[in-house]
Amino acid sequence: MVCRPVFAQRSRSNKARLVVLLAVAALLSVACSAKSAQDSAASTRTLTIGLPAAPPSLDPAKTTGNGQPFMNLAYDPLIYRAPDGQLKPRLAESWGYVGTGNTVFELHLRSGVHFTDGSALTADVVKANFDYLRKVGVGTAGKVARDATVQVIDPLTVRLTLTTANPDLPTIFSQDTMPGVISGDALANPDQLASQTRGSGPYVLDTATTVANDHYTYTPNPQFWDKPSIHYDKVIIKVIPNPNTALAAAKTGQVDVIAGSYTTVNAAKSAGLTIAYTPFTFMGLVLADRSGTVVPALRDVRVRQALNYAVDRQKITRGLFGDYGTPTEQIQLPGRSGYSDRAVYSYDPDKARHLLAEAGYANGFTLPALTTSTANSNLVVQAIADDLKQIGVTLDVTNDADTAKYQQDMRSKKWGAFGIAFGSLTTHLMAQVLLLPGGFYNPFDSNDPELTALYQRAAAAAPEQRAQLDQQVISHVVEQGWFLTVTFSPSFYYARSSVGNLTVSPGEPVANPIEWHPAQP
Amino acid sequence: MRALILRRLLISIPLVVVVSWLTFLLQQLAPGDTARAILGEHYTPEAYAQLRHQLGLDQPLLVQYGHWLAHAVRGDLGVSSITGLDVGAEIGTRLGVTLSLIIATTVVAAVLGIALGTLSAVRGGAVGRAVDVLSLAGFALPSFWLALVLVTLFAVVLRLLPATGYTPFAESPGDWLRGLILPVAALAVHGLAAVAKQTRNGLLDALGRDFVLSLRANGASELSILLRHALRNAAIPVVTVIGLVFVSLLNGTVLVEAVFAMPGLGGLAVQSTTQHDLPAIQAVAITFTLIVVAVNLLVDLAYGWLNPKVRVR
Amino acid sequence: MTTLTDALSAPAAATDARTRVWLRAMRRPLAVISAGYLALMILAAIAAPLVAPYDPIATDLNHVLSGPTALHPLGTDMLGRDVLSRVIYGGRITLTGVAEAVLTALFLGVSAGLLAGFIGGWADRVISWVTDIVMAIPVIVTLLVVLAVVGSNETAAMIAVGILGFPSLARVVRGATLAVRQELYITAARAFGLPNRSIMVRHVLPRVSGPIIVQTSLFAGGALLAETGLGYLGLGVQAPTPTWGGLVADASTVIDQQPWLLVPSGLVIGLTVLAFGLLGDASRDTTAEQRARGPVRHSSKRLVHRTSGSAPDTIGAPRPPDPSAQLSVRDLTIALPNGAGLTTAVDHLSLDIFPGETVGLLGESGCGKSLTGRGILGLLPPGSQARSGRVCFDGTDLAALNRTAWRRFRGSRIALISQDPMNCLDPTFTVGRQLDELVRRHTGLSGRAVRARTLELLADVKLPDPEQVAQRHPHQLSGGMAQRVLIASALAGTPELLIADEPTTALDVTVQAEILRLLRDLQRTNGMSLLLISHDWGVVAEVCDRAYVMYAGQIVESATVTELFATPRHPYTAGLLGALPRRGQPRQPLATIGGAVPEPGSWPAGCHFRPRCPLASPECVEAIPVVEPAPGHHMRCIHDLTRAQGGSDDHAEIRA
Repeated sequence: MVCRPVFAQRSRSNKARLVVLLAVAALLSVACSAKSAQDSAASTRTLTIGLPAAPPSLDPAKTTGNGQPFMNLAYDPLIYRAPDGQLKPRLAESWGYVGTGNTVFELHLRSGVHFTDGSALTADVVKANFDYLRKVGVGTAGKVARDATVQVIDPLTVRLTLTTANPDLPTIFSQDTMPGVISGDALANPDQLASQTRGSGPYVLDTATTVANDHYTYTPNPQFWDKPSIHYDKVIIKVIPNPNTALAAAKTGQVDVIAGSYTTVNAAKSAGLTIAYTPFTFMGLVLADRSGTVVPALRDVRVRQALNYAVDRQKITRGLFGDYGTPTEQIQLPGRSGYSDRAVYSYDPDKARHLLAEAGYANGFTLPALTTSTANSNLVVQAIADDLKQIGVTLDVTNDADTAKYQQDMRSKKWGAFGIAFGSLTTHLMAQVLLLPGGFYNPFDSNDPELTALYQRAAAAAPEQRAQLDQQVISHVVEQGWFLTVTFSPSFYYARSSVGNLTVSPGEPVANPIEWHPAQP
Repeated sequence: MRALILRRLLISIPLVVVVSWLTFLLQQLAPGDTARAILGEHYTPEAYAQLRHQLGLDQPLLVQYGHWLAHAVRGDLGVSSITGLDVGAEIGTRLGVTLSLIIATTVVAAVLGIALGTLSAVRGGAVGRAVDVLSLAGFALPSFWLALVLVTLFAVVLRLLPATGYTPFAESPGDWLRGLILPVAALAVHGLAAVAKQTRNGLLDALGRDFVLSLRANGASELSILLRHALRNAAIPVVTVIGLVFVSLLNGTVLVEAVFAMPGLGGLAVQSTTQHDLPAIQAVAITFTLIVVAVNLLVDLAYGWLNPKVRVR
Repeated sequence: MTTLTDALSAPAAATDARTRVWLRAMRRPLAVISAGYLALMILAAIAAPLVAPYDPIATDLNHVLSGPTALHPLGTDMLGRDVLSRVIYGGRITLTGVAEAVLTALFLGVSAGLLAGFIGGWADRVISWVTDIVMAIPVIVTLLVVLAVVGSNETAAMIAVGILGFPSLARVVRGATLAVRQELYITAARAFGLPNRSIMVRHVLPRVSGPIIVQTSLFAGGALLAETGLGYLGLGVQAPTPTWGGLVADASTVIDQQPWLLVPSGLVIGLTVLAFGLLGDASRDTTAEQRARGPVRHSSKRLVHRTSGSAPDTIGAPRPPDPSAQLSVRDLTIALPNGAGLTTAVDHLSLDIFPGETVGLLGESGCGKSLTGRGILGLLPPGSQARSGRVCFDGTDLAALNRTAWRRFRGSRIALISQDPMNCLDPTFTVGRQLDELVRRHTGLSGRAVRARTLELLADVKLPDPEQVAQRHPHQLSGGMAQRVLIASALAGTPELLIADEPTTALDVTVQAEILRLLRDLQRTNGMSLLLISHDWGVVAEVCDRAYVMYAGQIVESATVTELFATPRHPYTAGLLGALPRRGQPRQPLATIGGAVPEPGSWPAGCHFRPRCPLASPECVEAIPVVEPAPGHHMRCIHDLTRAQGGSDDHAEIRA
């Protein structure tokens, strides 16, 4: 007998079947749970805004700059700056300087205004606000509060008396620097203001559905004095630090409006988002060491002018910001008081070298410069570095990623120049920070008596003379080569077509959400 | 078993103290500091001094640490010096996000990793090699880069999944799941590679042992040998790896949370470091350490269950 | 993340690492490519000014964000800077950082591991405590804090990475050191009075270099990911100096305008980490290979594919399988892998087992007898092949079965027990559960009946308290008990043939006798046949009816046990019997067979025993047929020992 081989069939592995089953189940569950992100917004009118950062505290006395939209929704300022830059009545119905010299100022308040806790707006409440600002206020509003004596003339009139002339009080009392008037009752217990809102504005913060640094939910204020102007049933601000993530959220409808940036504008346009933009921030170098303490070369005005001639502002602006940037040699925005049409510098490397040689630096020199990464100001500085190299000036760049450290280093007087991205203000206010000895961004306390005199005259001047005086201040600074500004970078907003009336201008580059409303279909 | 838990606890307590002290100390030595960060542009020497006094920063180091420790053991981790909000509450809200992300990622990495590892152990040859290289490639790609690519592809181009944010499970389980898919995918790849590798090696090891020969010779089924016997014997190193994956995710989550704008502990860590928010960063460091301790304990317990001999090291 | 490298390396068991692991690893193509790539990156980084086409910070605002062009092969970024140049210069920063981390980890890890493993005691305890704590510290938070303190100091950060990563390296080194320390030559060195430090550095360190290389490669990959992560977050080295992580961050800001930038930045990081990983992989696989090779010794000669001079059973027509036999093996040839190919280890083996018989398979270690036993069941080690032959069991050729068909035979018709019973039971399950599984498999029983049957089986193998034993795990049993359990599991399917491979070798002498008696009893009770594989004549003599003698892969003699002992006819058998201690003469040197057993692959042509045989003649280099000098007594030899010694049945002469 021959032994026979046996063949048997191979059975399929049970395992494989199980795996496939699981995979299918998983896919199905994901697909089934897919919901359109837009469903939730359909029934109620909800506005979702995406902003890169939230302010550390919701207290309007402690917040400026990036925190504005958070304040605008819940608080009313005394004076309202409209999107076109015009100042309009808000909590103050009228205002004005008393006499000449710009040292005494009066505000007349609107009647019948109540805060969300039911208390009324009176001159005493406004005085209490100034007292509070005096104690904790950071920024310009705090400074003014500390300088002013506040008087209650009648229940709806407040008078401030300053020790130094200040022509910009109406601007200062607008939402850009003094975001809001706080309820008098709440001021008795100011700690709560860090996480709650106690204003008179169109909306109020809903703390139950708010997660700090993630999303903030606002609902309409039943006490608001101008109810018809409330356009939404709910406003949510989401914090999205990454601009690409923000754009993706806008595209998918997770948010309706975001603060944009140049890196995403083309993609936003092709996605059909509405683009609103305006020049806002001047970028370049502050040639701070004008007395030549650390960099002897900078002492000579010809050297500083040479640097200004060496840079091709058109090319850099186009390279970095395409059609959306505005090349500039001055620190004031077009259309605002102080801006001058007349150009001082052109792109002329030969002239630059000539001036350098005249000043005794035919072989160039090394200029150590400090930069920081915020707002990409370091990119502009790197572009400048290349141009300066052509005339023999080597820019030795040190970058501080940490803003606090950058500010500390900037003020340490170890660097003769530093990169800057500065959102334009009025000429008067900018001068205090940039041009006068003691200004935060004037670490070497450079002092130009002619400049200071011009500044003081402008401060006390009547509105008719002011424009010309402001122009003289700005032009003087340009001619003296105190800065090497290159471009105005724009402030962008992208909106979905469902949101209307979003506009910005050099007069008011920060968009205010209370202006927006659902677009007509 | 009890000895194991005791030993684990004995290491953990000094660990937590060391970590908290270390973070405390290092933060104090930082050149930029809390008060300066708060004041920012509005810095004046007077305001600075006043703020420091207000925050208690002008007291000796040990005193400050003592205060903190006294409160911490009672569960009060202080208030953030930047926002003034209770740090413990802040961590509470964010913990859910980070834990969702980490646990989901670990589960995915473990399940898929074990499956892949088993597959490559059993199939061997070219398939095994391919799985090897692929899993190694997964380990090699940086998670933040992968996250960026995934967002670009799935959220922006294909519009299939949300690009950002996090929906709490209580609010909408479906959205919670959808929001987790991309971040988990970005994070899981590393862990998957490690688990697959360890599973494969462990299984090959186990399958080469004498008891497998015996079982086979005496007629046990291949499936039972693979899934019941070999896997169980290979389990200990695999469980170790899964524990390590979980802990390593605490690092990965910092980067991925940034890309996906998720309100988790990672974001809080970076934020409080740049803002020099001392109470917050300390609380985050402690939380991370406690998570690590808990995971290590679980792994130790798993050992005991899996291996009757309860080998210690 | 750095602790994950632990997972990717072998468990910290003792490794038999040869010093030239590195060179051996180089034989694999992936390892060569990886090493080459890394060398290229390092060279490019060092020679950056020469290699990079542009200055990495030179802007070109007329060509911002271009994709790959002739001018810029990897494109340009948002300032028009050349990406290729930035990648090359970025390598300087990144690779330097990795080097800093690796050196720190190496220095700390190796010293700590060596100290802990070699000195032991308090040093070990302290170091273990420290490594435990460091391992638990959350890496990223610590790095953030360190960077907050020292500012953008990349060196400090990378050293911190190294410090946080040294524990896994220390653990591996400690484990390897512990193993090496036990070895005899280290003890000798210590006895000679060499100082510890010298021993550690000169003797221990080279031996643990294998695992160190593996772990370091993997850690380097992890350190690279850490460095680039920091760069992405904008910490570490600052702009405008390029770093790989910074390049990814740059790319992420312009994703919508130029997504291409993600590609070079991500790929260079991924490929470099991959290269480190593959290198570590290759080194580890090489080390593991050495370990797994085990009983088959590595032949230094290249494979000589010898179907050399070996012959089938008879010259001419092959003998057919015996139809009356239960098991009839004919011309079974098994080849084993030896690194460069296959070597024959069992050479045209034939044997028969009749129902109810006890047959012995005798031979020295390495002659292929265990392999034969496994080969019958189709359970050859991975890589081996049965190259020819038939294994006829009750009318079926087992050699032709596929995996599914084997189900009907293994355990239920043929079963196997091996030596070293402790290792043959799954340590993670109780004895009872393992038996339950087999019972369930072979009988149709379920529920309580299964455990009842298990207890029966345990009682059958004469275990005193079956219920108690069933609750125990294998490591809680003695050797003898474990062997009984193993026998019970082999009998769970009531096989007709039981193959016992050295069932008593690992046991004490007293227990041996009991087990043998048990086997005999069980055989008689169940009516099964028994193939007993052993090197021990005494065991075979006690239990077997017939025996086969195996030498160097071949059966050289077979007969009944009585006849084998009384009249060995093959010179090898005679020599073995003569060498039995009990046959020694008082005051005379013990007889041995000169020379040594040839390894598979170096078998002589013709008769494998020829070089050691006192009867060898020139014809012995030809294929040797099997002859039957007496009924039922076969041998593979052309000489006749009995005739050569003039009819004396005494042991063979001593061969000088």
